[in-house]
Amino acid sequence: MTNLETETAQKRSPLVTIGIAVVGLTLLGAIGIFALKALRPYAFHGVVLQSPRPAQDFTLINQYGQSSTLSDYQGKAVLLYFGYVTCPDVCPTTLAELKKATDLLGAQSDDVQIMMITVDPERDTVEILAEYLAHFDPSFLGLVGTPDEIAQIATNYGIFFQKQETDSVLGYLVDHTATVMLIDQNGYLRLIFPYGTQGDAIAEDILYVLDH
Amino acid sequence: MKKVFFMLLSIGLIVLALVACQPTAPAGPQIEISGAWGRPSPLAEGNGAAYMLIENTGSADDKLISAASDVSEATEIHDMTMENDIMKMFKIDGIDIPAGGSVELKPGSKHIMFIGLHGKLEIGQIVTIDLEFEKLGKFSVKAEIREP
Repeated sequence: MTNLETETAQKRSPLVTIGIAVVGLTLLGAIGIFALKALRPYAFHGVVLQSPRPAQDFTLINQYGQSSTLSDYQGKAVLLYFGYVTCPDVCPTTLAELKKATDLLGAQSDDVQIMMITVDPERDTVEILAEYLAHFDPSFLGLVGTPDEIAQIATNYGIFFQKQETDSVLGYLVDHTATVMLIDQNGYLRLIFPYGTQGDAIAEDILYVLDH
Repeated sequence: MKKVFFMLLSIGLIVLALVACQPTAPAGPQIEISGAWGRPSPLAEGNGAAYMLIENTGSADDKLISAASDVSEATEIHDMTMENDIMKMFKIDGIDIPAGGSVELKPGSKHIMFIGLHGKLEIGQIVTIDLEFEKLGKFSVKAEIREP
């Protein structure tokens, strides 16, 4: 009996040693991975502006008929998009992804303001923008101004747009830069999202910018 | 002698049956359309877009030359390009569907465009689109309105 007990004890001890070693190594590995993750710089989904510059201020009329000034939104991250209502494909796709992003942010979406400046001020009236944006989210701001004001703001932000006469019954269409810009809570232009960036990727970048 | 005759006859019949069952590519184009859907429209009197996969399983090319629908004033075929982040959209005369090939109408690419909607396109609604091909003529397609 005693012999047998000693034998099992002797047999168990290397097993226990191996067990401890396995647990120890796993813990060490986990700590290592965690440390690496914490040390590795965050990889943005959007294109990072290497030298963030203050976003040029502007004042336009929103879809509720009131004036909106960009600098009034300091303290929030602003996602700025240039689009137009007649655009049936790219603009709704982009707005739907922005809506997904703000939905994913939950309560933190209070720290984000979406703005769409129309590149078609002749057709996009305040009333049309109100109906259009209500389909996505009434908190998204749709902004209009005179063609000159809009051309000036677009130039300031490096946005290209041009009316294109077509044989479509639509008359003209507007070619335009389809990127979304992120202006951080301090009013600096930080990131550019190319067309097609998914809402969850945008949400992750917004979260990182808001926290840093 | 009789046995040999019957054997030859049965072999002949089997060969004939095999030849008859051989699948042959139809002469000319063969169009199949699947997965048609449309985007809900933000505006009641605005524009809409629809997408689908068009396959040509036949042995000759065909071309989609027009689209029509009763949901809007006009229905057109549009395409777009994205160069240096600049989106350009334009009307096209049609879409070639090569023999043995397929073309997918999808967001950010070729699409059917409804211009001047008679009412909002709402999720769950079914829109009938009449497509016309150069060789095969008319096809009626049902597109479901849904989120992408």
